[in-house]
Amino acid sequence: MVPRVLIVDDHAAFRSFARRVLVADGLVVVGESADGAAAIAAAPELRPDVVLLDVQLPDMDGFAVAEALAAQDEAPAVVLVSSRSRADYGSLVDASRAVGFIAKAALSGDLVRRLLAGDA
Amino acid sequence: MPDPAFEAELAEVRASRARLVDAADGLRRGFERALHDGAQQRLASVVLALGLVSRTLDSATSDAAGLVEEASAELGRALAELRELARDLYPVLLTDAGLGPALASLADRCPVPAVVSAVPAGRLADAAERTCYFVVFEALRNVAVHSSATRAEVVVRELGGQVSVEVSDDGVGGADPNGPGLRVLADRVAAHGGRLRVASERGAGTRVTAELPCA
Repeated sequence: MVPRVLIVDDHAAFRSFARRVLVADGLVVVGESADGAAAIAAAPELRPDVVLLDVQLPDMDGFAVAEALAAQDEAPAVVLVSSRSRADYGSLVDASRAVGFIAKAALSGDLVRRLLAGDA
Repeated sequence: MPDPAFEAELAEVRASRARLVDAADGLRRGFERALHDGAQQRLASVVLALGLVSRTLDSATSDAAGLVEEASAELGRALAELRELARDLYPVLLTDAGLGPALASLADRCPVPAVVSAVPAGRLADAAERTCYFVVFEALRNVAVHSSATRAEVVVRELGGQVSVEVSDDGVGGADPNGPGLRVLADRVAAHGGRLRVASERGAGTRVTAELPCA
């Protein structure tokens, strides 16, 4: 299965590079959203397998967006991303609905696949 | 008999002292946020861009491939240093999740094994959380650098509108309460109406305790 990805980040440059990295790694990017509300609205329409979700968005935090996405029918998996490290968010990541966390500089299609498979 | 003008001036000095600390913390928080929203984001994007570039280069035939790899590694180190600087400026976890998770993260990163044995379950007033956090931050830094301790313990309790925070270790003791780190910490605690105590007899470990209002 080729994972279909929705990228959610308010930084256009990051969305653009993330898209190119994921596509180069063989994933399909079905869309981009610049904030939490747009992501929650776009997910049922675009039907991504995974939402790559920035923890800090202009309108709401990524943990709240992950909650809202998890409540949708056929909810996508959520992978949190941040330019901060996982340790900066401590127990919040484990307590969240996300299947994993990726530091932005470490983003790769392989890592997304492994988190989806539950072995990263 | 109390002099009303003197009392008023004293109250104003106390309030302005608290405002100065709050303003400094506001700046720290702002710098952290600016680093996160600005340089850290851009540098992370550059790391991804260099990764894309390296895919187009053949390391067997191109010197550029090695250079790009070196540049990526150096950039990775710069990003790690920025992350650490930003975290020391102001922990996003304290803002987003409160004292318990923020102190757990500090204890996790302390090179001397440290445990948080007690911490209030709910959120405290912003100033109380900040003060407690920086007491533990500074005390654990001293544990790591000066104490030769094998373990440290953090205890935070809230009782009757007061919060007490205590950091103790089993190290060599002998900490100077008037050294720069602890002196500034005492001023920070006093600025929010509290008091810092340091018990650090030589050979008997160190115990740093702060008590302050948290209502």
